Amino acid sequence: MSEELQNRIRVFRAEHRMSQGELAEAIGVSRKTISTIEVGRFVPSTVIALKLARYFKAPVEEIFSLRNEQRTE
Amino acid sequence: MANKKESIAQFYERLQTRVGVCVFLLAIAYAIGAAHYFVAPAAEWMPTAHKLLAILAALMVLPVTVRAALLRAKNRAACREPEGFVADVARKAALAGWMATFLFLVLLSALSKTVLAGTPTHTLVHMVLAVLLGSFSIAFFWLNRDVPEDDGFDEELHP
Repeated sequence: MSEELQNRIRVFRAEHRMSQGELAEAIGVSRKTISTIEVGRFVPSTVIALKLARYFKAPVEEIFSLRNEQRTE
Repeated sequence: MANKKESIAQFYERLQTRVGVCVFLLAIAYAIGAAHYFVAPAAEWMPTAHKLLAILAALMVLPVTVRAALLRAKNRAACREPEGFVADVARKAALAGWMATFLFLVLLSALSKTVLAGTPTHTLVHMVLAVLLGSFSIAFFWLNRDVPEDDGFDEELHP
């Protein structure tokens, strides 16, 4: 479980009107993997993060971010 | 092969979960094998139970392992999926199993000159295997518990 990493997969899924199962099938992982990433229980590999970003056509940083991230801008 | 409704990732996850169940059955089988030395001849059913559990574990895991091998042979690229949650859980459970076995071996080395002196080697090996497999499977199912169900998509987030 990661306390630092947060994600917006649920928001992206809602925008694409997809269930966890549909997203899992689209990127070639199991539903349990998506479910546990969403709740912060499983930190995905870089490959899974990039697959999600590619699927949602969004930068990885828009999907995943670090809690208390310091913005320099 | 994975059935039509089941993706390759889902199939591999099912395979890993089934392996976890089989490892637990084998742990019980080895525990019975080790316990038989201490309680024999009072429990003549133990060797039979030991063999039956080992056969049951093999029967449970063999068909899916063969299906996984056939699937991999047919579609190697699709089977090269990124590592998912259950694979990660299996890796963590293996680490827990290794640590538990190490501690048990330290304990065993201390007890082998006193309480367990004269215990046959095969009984000691059964004890170690029972701890190794048991700690792996318990950690596997503990880390795998309480995964939320599919919640569809949230209309409130994107009405």
